[in-house]
Amino acid sequence: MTKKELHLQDEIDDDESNINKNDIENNYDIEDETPDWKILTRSLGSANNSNNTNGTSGIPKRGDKDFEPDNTDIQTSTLQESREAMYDAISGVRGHHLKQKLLSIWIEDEEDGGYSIIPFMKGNYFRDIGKAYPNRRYKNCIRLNPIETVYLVERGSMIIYLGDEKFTNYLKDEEEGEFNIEEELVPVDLELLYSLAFINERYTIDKYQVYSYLKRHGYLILEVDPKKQQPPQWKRLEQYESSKGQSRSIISWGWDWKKWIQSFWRPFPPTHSLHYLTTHYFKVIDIFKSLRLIPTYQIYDSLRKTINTTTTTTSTTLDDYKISFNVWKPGSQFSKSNPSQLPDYQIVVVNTDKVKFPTLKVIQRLVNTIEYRFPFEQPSQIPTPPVIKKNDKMISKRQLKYDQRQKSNQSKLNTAQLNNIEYLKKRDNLLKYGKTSKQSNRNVVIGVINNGIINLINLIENEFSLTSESVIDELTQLHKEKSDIHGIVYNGDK
Amino acid sequence: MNNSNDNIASDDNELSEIDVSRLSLHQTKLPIILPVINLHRDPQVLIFDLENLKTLRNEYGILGVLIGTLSQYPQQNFFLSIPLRLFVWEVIWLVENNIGVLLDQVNYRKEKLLLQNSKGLKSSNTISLNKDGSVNDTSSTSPNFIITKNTDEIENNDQDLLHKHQINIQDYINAYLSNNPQMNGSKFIRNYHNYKYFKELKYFVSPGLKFGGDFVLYPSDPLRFHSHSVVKLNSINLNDIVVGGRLSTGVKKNFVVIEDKDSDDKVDDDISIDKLFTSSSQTVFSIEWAGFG
Repeated sequence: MTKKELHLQDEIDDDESNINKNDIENNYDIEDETPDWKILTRSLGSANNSNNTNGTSGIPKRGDKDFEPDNTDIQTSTLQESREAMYDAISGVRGHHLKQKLLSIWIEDEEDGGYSIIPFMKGNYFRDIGKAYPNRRYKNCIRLNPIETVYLVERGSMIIYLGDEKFTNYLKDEEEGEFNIEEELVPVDLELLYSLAFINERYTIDKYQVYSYLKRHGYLILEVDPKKQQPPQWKRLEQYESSKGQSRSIISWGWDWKKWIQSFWRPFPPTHSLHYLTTHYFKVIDIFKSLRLIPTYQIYDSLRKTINTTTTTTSTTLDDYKISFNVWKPGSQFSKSNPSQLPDYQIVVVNTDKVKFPTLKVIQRLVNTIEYRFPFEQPSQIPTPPVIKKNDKMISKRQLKYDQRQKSNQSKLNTAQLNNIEYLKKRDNLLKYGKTSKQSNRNVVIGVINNGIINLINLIENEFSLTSESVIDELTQLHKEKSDIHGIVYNGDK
Repeated sequence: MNNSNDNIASDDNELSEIDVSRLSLHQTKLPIILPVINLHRDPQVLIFDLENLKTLRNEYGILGVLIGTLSQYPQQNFFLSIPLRLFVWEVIWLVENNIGVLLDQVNYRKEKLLLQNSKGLKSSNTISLNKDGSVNDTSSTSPNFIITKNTDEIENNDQDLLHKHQINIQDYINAYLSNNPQMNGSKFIRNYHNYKYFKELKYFVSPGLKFGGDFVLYPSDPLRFHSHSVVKLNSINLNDIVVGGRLSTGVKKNFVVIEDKDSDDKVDDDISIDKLFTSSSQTVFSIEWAGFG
């Protein structure tokens, strides 16, 4: 397992990518600091009007701050200015032009606490937000869950009214008659919406914070329905292996059995002190091979152990770790109606006050519940990933120089050397991310939240022995001599 | 804490600044309403009222965390907006000092809405905005913007309704504890006393997850000042001290360990409010990573 901060560098917004690129270079996250709001008003002032959502102007930089209060007037007045700037910014209106008017109605519901419906949808927010909600009155009506509702209202893109009995009857009723939402219903303010939307465990403020954080970065997000689940991974793997006429258990037995015979064949096992006196080795690699005593972890091993086949687990921590959101990168060919493309990230939201760091078993079980496609399940024609147009200015000068140097260096090398570089690169990637080109992501992102502060952790299931079939296939293409010893990182011997 | 109380009693001229504001507020203003969202499943106090937010920050140094999208710039995470999420120690501190009262928001608002409907009160949600984004107050122009307000702007003069939905601090803490299985009564009291210790030293206290601790301390408002210290609560492990010390020094802060002097190892599941609101004395160490050589 490797643990790595998830770098959110895929912002579609220009402002954001600029901020983050600087941060990565300085290894410093601007979001960690309390911002100086004066910078924002400066940029606000130069923007055309307050509904300029492109934010073309202001790129916040680190403000200049003082070490400690010295009770001087100048310090007091700058603090006052900063506060005023902050209050000014957050007192801005939350809404949109009447021409783009988007209305929704909150409907209370016993089961989920409630949801909202949009009778006439418009705007481009609905690539991932909302589900079709056919009813007798509105043809293209869609239904939003509480989190999506709060997100759209909070960013000022949608106005919400409180549905009453009369309205719900109107929805069911086929009879003639019009219902004027704006006239007859009461508008809901943000405070009331929060108290209506977050009243159960499924939709919590923690989850909402992670959702809106990622949405503001431009990601496409679908909620994972806890009721709808695909057949468990272990079952699919078992079915596949039995259909191929080979049971995994026999193979693993066979492997052990071979080793067992070997240990008989050699007079003394490698652990015995007489082993190296009685056995001859001609290659260093062979010694390493014989020293491989500890059973290694292969990528689907956690699927084969009994923990996953037993459905009744009493431990509560298992229930705390459940995937809440599937997340796609902004540039991906995602579509709500056909989510055949697997999500880029699958996110669990946990609160540090409530939940401890997961145990290995919990992590394994968690990885085994993600949406995953085995190599044998891959569609025969893998859709080519969309080419994301890289903006020229996105590539820094340093990067350009590095690329050029890399190119000129490579031109001096022969094919064998190039091949070797390629091999090492691939092996490194496998060790870091545990994913061959035919496999999909086997990772889970944990959104850790504490008192409103968010951190994201990426957990990847990985094998360090590099002995599973698909890994060997991929690496042996590049390095034929190392057929089964990719996991031995030893570069001195061929 | 004991000492400062004695001072107030003996010498009125040496009232500390914060005590003055506290006293004057008691007499003149109504307590700030602290709306509790999702009381039974995940109690959270969120502030939607800008005036309350200003008072909390300017007068009491309560920072909270802004969690809402700033609608002028909805595609960034650097500047956020209302609501302001308070963390549990801030809430307790405000209630202990009679600055705020807890309110069961959903039921309060539902009942208030019924009253408003019966009176036919309905606030308008369209306004007229000038090209530069400022609100046009003149009634001559027709509205061009439709908005969602942060909070209900219809004044409520019905104190009985407020009283009816007010939440007892004990109920809030019980709800918090039953939803946070990692916390128990004694730990809760200990952590709160530690928070109060820094608060009464007039530090501005923020949650510390970003720097690997429980609190981050600022000498004054973090809008203007860098923080000096990362605080770790309940730290008895030598590893934690070394890790925390290294980490904090790396971000130009020192690492602070704090412990309640009177705390015993007894684990209590329940909380008595009297015990929570008693004074306590703390031992505090600050640690800096020293590189020799």
